Amino acid sequence: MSKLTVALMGNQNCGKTTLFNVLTGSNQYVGNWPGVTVDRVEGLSLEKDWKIIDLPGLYSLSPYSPEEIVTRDFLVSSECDVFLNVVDGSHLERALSLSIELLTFNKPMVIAVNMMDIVKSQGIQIDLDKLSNALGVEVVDISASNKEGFEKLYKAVENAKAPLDRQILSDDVFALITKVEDKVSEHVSYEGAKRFIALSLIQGDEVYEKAYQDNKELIQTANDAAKAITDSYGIDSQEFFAKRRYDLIDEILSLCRVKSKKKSISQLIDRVVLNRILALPLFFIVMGIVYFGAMYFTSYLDIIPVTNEDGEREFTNITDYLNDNFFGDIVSGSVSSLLETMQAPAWLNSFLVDGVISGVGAVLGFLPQIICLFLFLSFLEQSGYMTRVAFILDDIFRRFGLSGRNFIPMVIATGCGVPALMAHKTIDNINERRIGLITTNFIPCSAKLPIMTMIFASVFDGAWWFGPFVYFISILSIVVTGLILRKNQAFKEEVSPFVMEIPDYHLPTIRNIFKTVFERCKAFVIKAGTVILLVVIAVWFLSNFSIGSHGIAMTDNVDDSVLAVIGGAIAFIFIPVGFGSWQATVAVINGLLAKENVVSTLAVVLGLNEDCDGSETELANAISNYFASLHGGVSSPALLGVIGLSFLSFNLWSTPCVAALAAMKRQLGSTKWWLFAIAYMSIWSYSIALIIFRLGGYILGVVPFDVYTVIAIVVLLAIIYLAVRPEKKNKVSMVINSKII
Amino acid sequence: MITLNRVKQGAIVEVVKVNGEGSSLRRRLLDMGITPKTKIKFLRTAPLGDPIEIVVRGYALTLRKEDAMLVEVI
Repeated sequence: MSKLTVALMGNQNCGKTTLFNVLTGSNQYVGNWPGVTVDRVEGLSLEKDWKIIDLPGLYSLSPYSPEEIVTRDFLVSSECDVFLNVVDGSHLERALSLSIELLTFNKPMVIAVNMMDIVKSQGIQIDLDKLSNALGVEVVDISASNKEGFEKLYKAVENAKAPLDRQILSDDVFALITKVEDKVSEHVSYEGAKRFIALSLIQGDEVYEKAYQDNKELIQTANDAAKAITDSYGIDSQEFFAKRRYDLIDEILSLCRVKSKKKSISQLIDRVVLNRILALPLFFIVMGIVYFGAMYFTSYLDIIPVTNEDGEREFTNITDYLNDNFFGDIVSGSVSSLLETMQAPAWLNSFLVDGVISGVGAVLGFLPQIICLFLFLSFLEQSGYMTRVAFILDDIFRRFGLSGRNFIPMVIATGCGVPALMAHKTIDNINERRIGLITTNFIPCSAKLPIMTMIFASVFDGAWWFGPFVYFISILSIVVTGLILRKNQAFKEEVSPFVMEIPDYHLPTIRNIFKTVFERCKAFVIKAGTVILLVVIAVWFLSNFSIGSHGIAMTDNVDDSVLAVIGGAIAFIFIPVGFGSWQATVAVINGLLAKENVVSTLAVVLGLNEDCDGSETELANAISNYFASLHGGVSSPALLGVIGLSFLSFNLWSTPCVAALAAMKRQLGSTKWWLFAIAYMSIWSYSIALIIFRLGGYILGVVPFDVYTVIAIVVLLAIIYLAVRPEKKNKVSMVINSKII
Repeated sequence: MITLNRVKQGAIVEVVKVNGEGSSLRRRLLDMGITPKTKIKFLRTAPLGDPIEIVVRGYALTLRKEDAMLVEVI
């Protein structure tokens, strides 16, 4: 006997994914956030011989968002045996609208009223038998998060029967629909699907009108039916069916629901949280607690006891402990001593300790911060606060192609770009997600701070405006990029309009929060162990081996290494921006591995100790001498300044480190988009560097006027044009490329 | 008669008409239950002036002002 296929359907945020997780035991992500499931997800039931398909959450079956198209196509294809419609018992009015649309398909169907615990606590009574009678399908109550009511649910699904849909529409309208239905071509898999297509066509559904444009007779019949409805009821067909559905819902609910007069707690909380005056200050306080809480707990609070070099006991923080003590001492030390006892060659020790352990360790060192941030953010997401944040901030962000939801990832990005990119998962508007993924890394992360400190100390002599200036360009980069990209047709994929439900607050369960944090961190750790490991190994080989007359040999001197040769070969790329030498190029390349490497690499190739922290005078002098040497030894502060800023610009705003690149690829979900993002960021940062060095330098009188100055002016004008050019009249195109979904 | 974006905070209004025939937005608004004769409570405007939050059929919904302009209410 073949498996029973059950399709899970319901509004966004109705507990569908929670139910799916209980039924299948899988770890689908759960959030109190509309639109968590974007693709359909399949799983096998733990208890029964069922295949369960979790479809995207939606409010209706009109064809205006990728989620709706995915669901519709699936429903029409007859791949499933039973519809399991999950409805949020505390929001029956809205939920039943979709249920009534689903009845059209005439498939065996069960309605599971979820969140009955909340319904009861609100003092609402629902008569499920009456509801079942009125809708003509079995209705059961469950509480997915408390795992209640599942025995009834299993029984109901196994005995599910098709509904009688004639109860819903009057005979004259029903006759009109039947007429259209008969004209729908034969190859549609079953009668219910034909009815759905007929109903959609009568309501002027663009997708089906296009699909059936050759069937003139069908289109004509549908148009006639629509006209007949307008003639007899005085309203157009879209309004007619929507009104009919909601009138029916009102009728049904007046029979089977007793509402209490209790004011919902959510609305009381929102009086404060969304208050016109309090909302923004409260938001900044919450973000401050999340951000500084995570940073303080992991990087400043000294709670782990260690024994220092003098044999004294002292306390250190989690991040330092992981980096210095765990990876720096314990792991490296035990690997070294193990290798010594095995009498392994020195290169193997160098490879494992300096290459693999320090490289992968540097990435895993972010883990405590990531865990902490995600604990806070998962709580805010699942409680429902993030939807409010989108509401509060939408007005600012929409001006440059983003929405209020993009703020959170940007806050995270000041710490580390990897979790920031991963946080984009919760942005369901694909255009906003893409622009967000491309721009988020313009915010300097904590690993880029040493580069800023280095330039600050070496060529700016501690000028007060330096920090604000760098952050100003970061924000400008995001805004201008948003303005440029949002006008591009590629970022205008049809999405549902910004009509967003504000869900009630839920107190998240600890289990769900930990599950979310675990899932997100698992992805991060797997990446550290695969992509990053490979790059670490490659760079270690390149910087530790030289090609000479004796063939390939190991070298202690990075000047002789293959990396130096490669750096020398491509250094010409950076001549226009003022630092075309192999040392700076190698630093940029190593920065791709991890941005922390820029400072240590420069220190090494300039012949200093590797342990420079970026503020030491020795390094500062070496850097300013080095920048001066690039331009004939002239050391005017203005010239050093523009070189320093140019070098900083490229390192800060070009492609992020490999860890972030890997996260970006995963979140963009397409190599084409990923390559576009890389190219865009590289060109953007190079343009900024070019404008600063050539144009800024010329204005300050330290860089001569030449062809590059002209190019810099052209680039600047091009950026301004792209950002302010008028938007092409947005044609309302309803063509949705379903392959992208 | 005014459009939904101009309703006063806390006021309860009744939908008269949803304009923009044939547009996806109109169908979306109808699907979400904003049909003629429906009662809507205008909860609040966001701190920065847009979007707005309303209660319709027992649940809270936000929409941008430019979209709310399609809805005529009394």
